[in-house]
Amino acid sequence: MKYYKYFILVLLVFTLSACDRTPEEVIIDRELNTDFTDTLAMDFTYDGLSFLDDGVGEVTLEKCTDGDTAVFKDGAVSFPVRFLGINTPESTNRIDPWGKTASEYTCDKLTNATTIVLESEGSIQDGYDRYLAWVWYDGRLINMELVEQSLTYELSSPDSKYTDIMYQAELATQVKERRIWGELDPNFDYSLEGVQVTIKELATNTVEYETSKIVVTGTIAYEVDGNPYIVDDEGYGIYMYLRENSVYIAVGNKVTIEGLNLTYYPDKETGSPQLVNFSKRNIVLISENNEIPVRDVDIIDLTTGDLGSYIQFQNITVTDIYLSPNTGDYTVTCEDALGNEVGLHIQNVDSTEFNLVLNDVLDVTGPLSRYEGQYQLELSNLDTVVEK
Amino acid sequence: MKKLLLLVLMFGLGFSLTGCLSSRRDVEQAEVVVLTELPDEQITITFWHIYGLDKSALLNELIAEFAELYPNIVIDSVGYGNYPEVLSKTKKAIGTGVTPDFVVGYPDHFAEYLDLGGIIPLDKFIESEEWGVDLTDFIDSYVAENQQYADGMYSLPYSKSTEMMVYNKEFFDAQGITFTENQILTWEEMEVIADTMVGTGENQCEFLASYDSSANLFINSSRQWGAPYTNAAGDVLVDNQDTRDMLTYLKTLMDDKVLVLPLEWDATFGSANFLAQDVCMTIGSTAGLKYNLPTEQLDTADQFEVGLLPIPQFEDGVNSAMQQGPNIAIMENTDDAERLAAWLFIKFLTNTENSARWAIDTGYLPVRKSSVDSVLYQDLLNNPDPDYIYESMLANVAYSQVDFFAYDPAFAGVGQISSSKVREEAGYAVEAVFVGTKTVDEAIQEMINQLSW
Repeated sequence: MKYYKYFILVLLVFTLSACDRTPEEVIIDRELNTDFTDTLAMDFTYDGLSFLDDGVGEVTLEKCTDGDTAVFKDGAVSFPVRFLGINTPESTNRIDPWGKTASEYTCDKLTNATTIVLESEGSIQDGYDRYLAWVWYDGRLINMELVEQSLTYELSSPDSKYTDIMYQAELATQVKERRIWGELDPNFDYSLEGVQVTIKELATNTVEYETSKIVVTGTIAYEVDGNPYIVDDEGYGIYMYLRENSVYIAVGNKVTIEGLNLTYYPDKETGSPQLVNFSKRNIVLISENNEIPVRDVDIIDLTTGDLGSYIQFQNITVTDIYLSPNTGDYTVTCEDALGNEVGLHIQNVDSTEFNLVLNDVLDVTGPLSRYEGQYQLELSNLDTVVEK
Repeated sequence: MKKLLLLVLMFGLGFSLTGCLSSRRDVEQAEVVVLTELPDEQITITFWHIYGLDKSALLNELIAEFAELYPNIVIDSVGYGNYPEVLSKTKKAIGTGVTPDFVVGYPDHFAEYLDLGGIIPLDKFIESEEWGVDLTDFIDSYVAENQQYADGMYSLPYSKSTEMMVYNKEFFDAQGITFTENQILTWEEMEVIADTMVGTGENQCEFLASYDSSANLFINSSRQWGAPYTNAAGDVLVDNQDTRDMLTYLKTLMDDKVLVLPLEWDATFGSANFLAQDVCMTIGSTAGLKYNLPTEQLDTADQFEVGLLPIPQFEDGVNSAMQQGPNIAIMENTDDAERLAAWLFIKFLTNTENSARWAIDTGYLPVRKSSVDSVLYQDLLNNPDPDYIYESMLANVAYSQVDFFAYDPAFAGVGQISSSKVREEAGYAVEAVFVGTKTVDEAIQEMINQLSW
């Protein structure tokens, strides 16, 4: 209770001083702090409770996603959680100023936390199958700490029990004019078009382009769920995540696209690079009906620089077939004559059309991706699968 | 003792918060000094709006372009989730003295900010020799909407929109029903069409047309019907036979499945059920077009062709379409440099080229006549890039209604009902009639009760 009393005093002093309408007379401390987060303590217990069952409970971090989302585990069940009351700048399917800083801040705190507790309020899930929670790490509310670090706006629901203190934390932070409230992000490329780069250069030196706007020219080689792989004349390629459609995104079309950013899906360590920030404002059609260059690469020689390339594997043998009960996707494991494995991830194929069986020998062409570190060709049909 | 201390502190806190409020009633119109030169030092200005992922991408581009023109102006662009959130946040902010520098909002919102002493008149900026704009280049009805405040023009038009009707062209074609370009249907004609289109057979829907905004349905139907709604003095005029007749007719349309509200599916908008082909037509904001486009929202196999039409009118009524969409205003709690910086950005956002760009990309309408006449926008209207076919159809439909765009007076104030509250209650009245929890008479009486004290 005594902390609460001090908090009220701080609020009172703060709000009285906020009445002063001559800001030039006020000396503003621009240093960021976590005064509100330091003061706030949990008002609930979670011993023996499960977040998924009881709405409150201790969890473990499975994976960082971005500044306001992470994947946690409650026992053996893993699930994504969107943090309540905030909306940090984007850093996955779009790059915003301060998005990467917010993402790194959250990941650092959660990764190094001894205890993580989730607290639901209102609906436990949103419309995207994500859970919603206030996230406490080692007794600190990271949702509020991100507000105080000027890495998000406060967006808590009016009837949330944290609305008032979140709002006061935002007010106290806003006047500092730091980060999202008035500073340019030194790690963000504010240029509009970006640097022209070949897809091969991009695919093989991704780390060089993580903070640049990018312009690429290439041919649409393949589409998966409406999102294309674009390749250069040598067959090097990269996946592009679209937020909107363009009639120019059609297989065989050679296009130039400006203003793109490079990210990774689902992450840099185990997934694939992808281009984001696509807008149909920034696409120019160069020519149509172009041939798609195909790369021949042996499975054993695959590297991360080949991710996104349009690749053909010849004479590979089916060794395992798995049908996901959740997604309906097939994952077909194949190996070459030397026993090197590669996967085929096949989406949107009806079980009545799926005709592959164990020991089939195949020639398969498709864009290369990676799932949990394992290379696989991404296929949206069986058109490029030839049984021998 | 602790409780007593806490009570004293809480009382002090409450007093200090309310003590910050300055009402327009006890404050003179804000004195506005227009600097003749932009100061050299960095000026950080905060812009509160509601533009999410899609629209903020272009807004961010415009901010980047503005930064090239004025490198010492830093713009914090804050996109909140929706208009009520911006309204609530801004009203709180006015109370505490830490406000954004400029903000988007509806006239209803600005009327409330004005009542709290929160925004400044823009007339001196508009007329400034150095920084002014030619108001005659702005669409006349947009200017009038922003000039409705008693003592000045407190906002500039920014993201204007209207309503349109999207229909499932494949279903209508299959039933042999075609429309001419920008054909205005009457509700009476819609009743006849429903005889063919509503049903459980092939190329039929359960309902003919959904209407996203129940408040707009009430307000615009009142205008079309000639039924009084409100006036500039803040009087609520719905207790009349014309309003009763209008609502009774709408209820007939609802009972006959000619008209449905998204409430039918516990939804806020009709888009999802239009895409699911539960309803053959959907009426909503031009700014929401993309949510009704199968090419944007559905897998290729599920897509179908759509067409666009103006909103329906009444056979013997007065044509009317909602003029809606937010304007943009500068807050009072800003210094002269911040006001000038905000004004320069507003002027930049609404210049001929940028108003056209914003319109093409977002589905809003240009606010300047020169933007409509620009090569860029004329190309959209007459010779669109294949990527902008639907945006072109939308723009043409919107401009076919421009002659009968209409808006309602905005008002607010202590002892007076705000126009936003009346609007909210109008929506509830239509919904109550639709669901059947109230008769027309009961719904109107409830509306009056809610707006009286």
